[in-house]
Amino acid sequence: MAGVTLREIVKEYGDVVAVDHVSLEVQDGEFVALVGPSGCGKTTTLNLVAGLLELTDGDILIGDKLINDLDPKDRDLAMVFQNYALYPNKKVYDNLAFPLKMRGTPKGEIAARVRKTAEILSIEHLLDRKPKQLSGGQQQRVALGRALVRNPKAFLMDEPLSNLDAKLRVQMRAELKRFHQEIGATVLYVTHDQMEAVTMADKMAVMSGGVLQQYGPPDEVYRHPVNVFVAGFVGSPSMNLLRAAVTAADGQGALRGTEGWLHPLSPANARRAAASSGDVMVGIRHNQVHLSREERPGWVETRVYTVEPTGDLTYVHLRLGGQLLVASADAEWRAAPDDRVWVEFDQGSLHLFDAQTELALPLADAVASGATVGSARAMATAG
Amino acid sequence: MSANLSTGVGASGGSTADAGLDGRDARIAAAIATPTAPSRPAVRSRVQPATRRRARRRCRPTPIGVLGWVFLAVLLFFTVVPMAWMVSTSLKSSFAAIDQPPRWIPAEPTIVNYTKLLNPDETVGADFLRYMRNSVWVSTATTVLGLIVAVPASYAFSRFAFPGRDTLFFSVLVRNMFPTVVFLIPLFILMRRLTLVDSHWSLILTYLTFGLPLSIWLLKGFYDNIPVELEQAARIDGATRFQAFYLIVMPLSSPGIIATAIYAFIQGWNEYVYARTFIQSDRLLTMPVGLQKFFTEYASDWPGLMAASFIMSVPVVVLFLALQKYFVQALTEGAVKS
Repeated sequence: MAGVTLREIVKEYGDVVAVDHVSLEVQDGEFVALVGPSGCGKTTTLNLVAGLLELTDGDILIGDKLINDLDPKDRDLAMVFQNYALYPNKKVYDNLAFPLKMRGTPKGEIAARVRKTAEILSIEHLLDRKPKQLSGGQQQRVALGRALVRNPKAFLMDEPLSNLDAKLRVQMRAELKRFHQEIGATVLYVTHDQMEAVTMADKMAVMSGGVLQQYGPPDEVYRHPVNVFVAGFVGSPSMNLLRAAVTAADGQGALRGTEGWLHPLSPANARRAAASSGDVMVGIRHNQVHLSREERPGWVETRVYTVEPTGDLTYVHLRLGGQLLVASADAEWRAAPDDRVWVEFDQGSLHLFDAQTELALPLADAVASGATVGSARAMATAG
Repeated sequence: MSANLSTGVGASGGSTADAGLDGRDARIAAAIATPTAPSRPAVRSRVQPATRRRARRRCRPTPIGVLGWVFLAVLLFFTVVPMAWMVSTSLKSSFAAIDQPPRWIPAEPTIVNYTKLLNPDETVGADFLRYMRNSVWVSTATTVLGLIVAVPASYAFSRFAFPGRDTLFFSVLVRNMFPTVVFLIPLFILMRRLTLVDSHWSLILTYLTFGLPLSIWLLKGFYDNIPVELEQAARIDGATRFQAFYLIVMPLSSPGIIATAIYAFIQGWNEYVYARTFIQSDRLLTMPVGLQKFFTEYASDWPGLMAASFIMSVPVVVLFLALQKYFVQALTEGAVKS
């Protein structure tokens, strides 16, 4: 195993920049998830590492070795594809043996390693079958096995779980994480599903428009998104983002939403907001929106749009002017559409972004300790 | 009857008696599916649409369906009767062949026409076998050379983006947009310049000019259907680009290659116009032209001609059956879940 380093890599297709100066360091044994919406350049980045595409600029290193110009076969990587890419004309055994055969491994050793890999993945009984005789989950395991059968420097995975049904996906997610922990493999994992990234990865790299937005451990990315894009992308349901002007009311700082609502700010948040060049974007997670059925001073009036009970907790979609806002309440919370509900944003976990630059406004003081507990709980429920 | 029908509609499920009646009605309607019949079903359908729907679900023919079957039957008759007549005549003696009225089943079937054609010691047999050899050689050479070019070409068209790819891809078809005869004289002059007239190579090259574009088109379709991820996986697994093609893609496209080969072979096998124009020596004639020569030389020997025609059509029929199998296989082979 070895680490993977990307230095200012660029991939251009004519005038289109698919990957724009991305730098990333994956430590030996680390599980790094590349996440972002489709078309953000994450798969292109992975294919650049694999050598399936040619770099326009920048360097890629595996361990200490520069591999910019190496053929895919000489990079000593293994890859799991979204559609598994099992060789349809070969039996499972030969699928697993192929990477070894191509590297001139002796026959006896091939047999031993294929058996061992099949054992680890509990697919021994499938070795004589053709891929199309397997279920989706079994195909997925074989694809994983074909990567595992060698000891590559690193594993590249391109949305390996997205073709599985929801239940199997959760199960395979746990298996993949367990497998990573057991063999200490370096994994570069591409997904559009931020949930997979949050649950499995040691670090996540959020990409948008070919640009790396933020790179760090999932809880850090979740708790301190550096800009509006990351804030909206990471977390489920998405963070509520409202545009507001910074103003003052009753002698303290306040936000005046474009929809006309007024919400007071704590002194610390008021100082942050004051640093903005103009309007701010207010970000608030669903579990940091406090709900009240009675009017309270300083709270904002909203109307219930719809109520979604999920069993564990209830998501309440609220209408605030033309915007929708998601809040969560306990499992028994119910309301009829168009009921009046008052909300308050938790001051300790309010995210503030400059509306113009979309960058996070730095924290003036230490964040209230409640915020940390709050986001941790939110991540648990989101998972 | 109308009373029965209305009760049938009234009962949601329909009793067995009603069902039987419906079935019989439908059968009658089918039996008299002529323009006079619709007056009654039309009235009935307006009153009881449910009955008609139920009848249709039991696969009773609609007017369009009936027309389709009639059309297919005519087509079948049109294609099968000449073949049947050919086989029947080929099994008769010369006298029996011109019997009036003609008999479908030969009174005294004989295979002497076939043994004569396949006997190299007889003049007719020697000629015939030589035509056959020539045809086999020309068709095979066309097929093999065509594939040697078409396989890599279609793979390149399918996988690589290069300047002018689409233009080039469509331009390979230009040759097939013109009638065969348009190129007859120009190609003849070209072949004369190349001193290839009256040689098999003139035919092989000519057949390639129209067989190759079609082969490339056919094969490109097959390669397009093979996911590029398979090659990518192979390359990461340690294969070179060529190994990825040779070890993974080629075996997967073999149904396509076989289908294309058979198609190219049949094209060469059946071609007449160029063979007639380019070949002058009797010893180089291919089967279609050779057969035509039989017509003039042995005009009275109908059974012999029919036997020769039949032998010539056998490879085509056999290959077409095989072709169908491979096409189906190529279509149903689900390579990758996507």
